[in-house]
Amino acid sequence: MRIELYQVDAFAPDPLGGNPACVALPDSTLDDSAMLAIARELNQPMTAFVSAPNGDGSRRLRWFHEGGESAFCGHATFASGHVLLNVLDGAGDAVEFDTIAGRLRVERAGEGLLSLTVPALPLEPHTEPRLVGALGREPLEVYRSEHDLLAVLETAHDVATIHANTKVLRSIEARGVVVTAPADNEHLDFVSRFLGTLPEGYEDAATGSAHAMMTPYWSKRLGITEGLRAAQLSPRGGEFVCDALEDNKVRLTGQAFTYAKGTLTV
Amino acid sequence: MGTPLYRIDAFTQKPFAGNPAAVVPLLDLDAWPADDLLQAIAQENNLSETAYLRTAPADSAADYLLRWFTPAIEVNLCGHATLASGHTLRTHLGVTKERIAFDTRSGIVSVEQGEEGRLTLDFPSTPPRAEGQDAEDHVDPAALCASLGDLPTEPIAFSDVAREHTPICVFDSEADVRALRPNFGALATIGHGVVIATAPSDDPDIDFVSRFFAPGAGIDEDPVTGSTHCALAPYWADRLGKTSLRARQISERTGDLWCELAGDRVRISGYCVSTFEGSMDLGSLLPDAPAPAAR
Repeated sequence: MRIELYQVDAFAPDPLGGNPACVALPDSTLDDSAMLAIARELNQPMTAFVSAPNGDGSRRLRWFHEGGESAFCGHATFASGHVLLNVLDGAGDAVEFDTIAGRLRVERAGEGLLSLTVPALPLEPHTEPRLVGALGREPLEVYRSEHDLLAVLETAHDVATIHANTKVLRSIEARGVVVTAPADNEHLDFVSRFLGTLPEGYEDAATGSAHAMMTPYWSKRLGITEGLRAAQLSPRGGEFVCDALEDNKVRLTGQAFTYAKGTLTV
Repeated sequence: MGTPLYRIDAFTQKPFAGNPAAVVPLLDLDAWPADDLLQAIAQENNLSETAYLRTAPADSAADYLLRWFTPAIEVNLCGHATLASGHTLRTHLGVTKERIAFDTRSGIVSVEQGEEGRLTLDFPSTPPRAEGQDAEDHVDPAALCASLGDLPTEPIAFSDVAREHTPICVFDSEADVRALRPNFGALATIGHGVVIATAPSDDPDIDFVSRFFAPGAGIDEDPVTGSTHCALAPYWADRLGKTSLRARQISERTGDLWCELAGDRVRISGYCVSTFEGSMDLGSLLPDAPAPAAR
């Protein structure tokens, strides 16, 4: 079986930066075990499987990584939108994806940029005694969303220089710990990093869900609802412009670059 | 248009088995792109190895120049990515030469047409040493047992494949090797943190099985490893009294190797299967290489 395949760098400052995702457009429906096998073979943070359009033009989208199917992936959705809108050059100015996390919309944002609109992720104040050991410093504030912790630090330098104790981090019951602080320059509003608990030592390059969690927080703290400029200080780097929308949604705008395209033979 | 990019599974005939490698032909470039670009592309590919090829200069003894990069570093030698490179040239780029020679960091390495459609690598034969022959060949049995979860049944032998003083642990049965669940953190602290486990095969068509654990080299378990067979082939040839052997590496992905002892060389053969054909487009970062010959 031959499957059209793209690899896209999402929320990328430059080519070979941002968060890579493979985007597969099979001609016919693949079963779950085939999608998992493909995702494992490709060995990227996420592989998205895009179906043929539904009656209303929307497309079913599922995400698989090495460990199985994902409940939500922002960057692979963004990458899939890039393939449909920019590479295949169709579908007008927007595409809606039908996913297990609900309806997710990717649209053109001008100047070659794309926007992904996702539900905001609510935060609750939280305490986690292991964070100090994991991060090597005491956060100023700690919150919890459904999947992740948010640790607010004082400065961008603090965020950049965290050297996580991965063993302690691994013991925390969350998908990851997002560390964030105000930016230290006039080009940005806030910075962050996403420190995964599993696999040990995993740092995500550019994390949509983390920005869905942080945007309401920074919007309130900085008194800005739209155009919040954020950098993810991972080795590959991530760049987002974030808007806190009404009805509890967040719009994330950024760049996507097509790294490769071709045909997968399975 | 972009630069061709292939993903190949080496030492298998089944997609998603064997050992994956990316192959990037840069055949008509006059010079290598910058090391950090080659490294960044290999990181983006995120396979255990990315092989880069250029056509060798006319006065070279080799046909191609070949370099291998993991996502983190450039390495001196990689068998499976060499096999994958030979496969790519023959299957996708119209190369029909019986023997393709690559000039590499480790000198000239070749891939030849083998029997029954296989490709053959020619490596030195390095029969293992018994413990005691080299003062630094030593493993604490208690530490080894704790890290592997089991103790080998034969005396441990040693070889310098992969790293110096690599222990080769021979077990009674394939089941014993299959059952190993190493503690990779502990294993990484034993010598150089690489261990070969091997046993006779249960399958009547296969002579021996093996697994290769290398946390000390950054890979907990390698799916299929050509270089370990430089020691395994002569060991089993001696023990089984034959010079043509079939080997299976029983990692989760699994791979098949045909080994032929020839004097002080081992010819290690296998199949490759292509899983992806395409191109990458890095704009001005990487000058376009001409399109591959139609095939």
